[in-house]
Amino acid sequence: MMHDELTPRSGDHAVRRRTPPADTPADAPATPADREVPLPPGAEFAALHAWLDGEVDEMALTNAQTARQREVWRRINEDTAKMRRLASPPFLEQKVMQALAQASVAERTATAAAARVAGQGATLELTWPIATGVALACALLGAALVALLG
Amino acid sequence: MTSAPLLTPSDQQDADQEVIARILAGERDLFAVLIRRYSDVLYRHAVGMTGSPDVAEDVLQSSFIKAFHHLGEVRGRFDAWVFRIVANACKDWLKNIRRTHLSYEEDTEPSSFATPDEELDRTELRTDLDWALAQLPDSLREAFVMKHVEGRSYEEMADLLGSTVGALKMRVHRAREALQGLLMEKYA
Repeated sequence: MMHDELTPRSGDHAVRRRTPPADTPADAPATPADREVPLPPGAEFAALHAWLDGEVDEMALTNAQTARQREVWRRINEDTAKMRRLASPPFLEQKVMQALAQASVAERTATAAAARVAGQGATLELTWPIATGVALACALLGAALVALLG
Repeated sequence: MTSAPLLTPSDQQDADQEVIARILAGERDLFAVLIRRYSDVLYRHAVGMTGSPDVAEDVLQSSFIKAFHHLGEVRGRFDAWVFRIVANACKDWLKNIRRTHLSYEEDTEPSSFATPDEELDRTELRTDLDWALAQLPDSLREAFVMKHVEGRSYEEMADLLGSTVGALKMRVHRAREALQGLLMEKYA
């Protein structure tokens, strides 16, 4: 944002003001560059932010410095508006669901394999006492036969 | 969000919770409903943050898979929860790309913009804007993308990021000032 320079200091501005170019009438209206100085940093952006945040109308930004800024932001806003219309790729949903299905199959396979291993262990655990019992019964039967015949 | 604009946030949350409950009960295919509901807005965030449609697609894919596996941990709004997963994935990607000194601009893979028109829309300004955004700290870039690319209000941003409206306004303002400094010379 620019302000009228009411108290000109020394420097280029002051020199230029004191010695206008020969072809410029002394009473001609000053150009914005001649009569305006930048506001402190921060204040320069306040009106611009207010406009970009939708708090004030663009017409509220009228001076020459913000005209350049407005032009930049108009172009950036056009571009970001295009980005706002971007849609995700149509195959994304399918890809994610396929990946989840594959993970699910792998999970089920792993679970089934684990269950099979556990099942085999359980079968062994069940078989062992039965085998021992049969062996013992055979031994007892054999001993009884020997005793009967002997 | 964009696919269900007539629902209030509360209705949306209830609808999401119902879908989540059914997925957790075994109807896994219903996860596609949540993907459809939120993928566009999350994709825009990822493109804005990474500057690359290809990377954005990867980020979304891995984020949705992660979300599915942790669906039982959702407390409150699903959209805010899944947004945080995607936002963190984008920041992790940015950290990695900076650490390895690689740039997505060096990516020679063909672009995955949906149509040739969209490819043509990738103007010089877009390239310059991506470059300028890449110069910003992640938090400023994130705030700018949410405000200008996703078109969110400051209140919505504060809700999603767990921050205050004032802090987010400050971040957006600082991002604008930095971007303007970087682009003014060429475009004013």
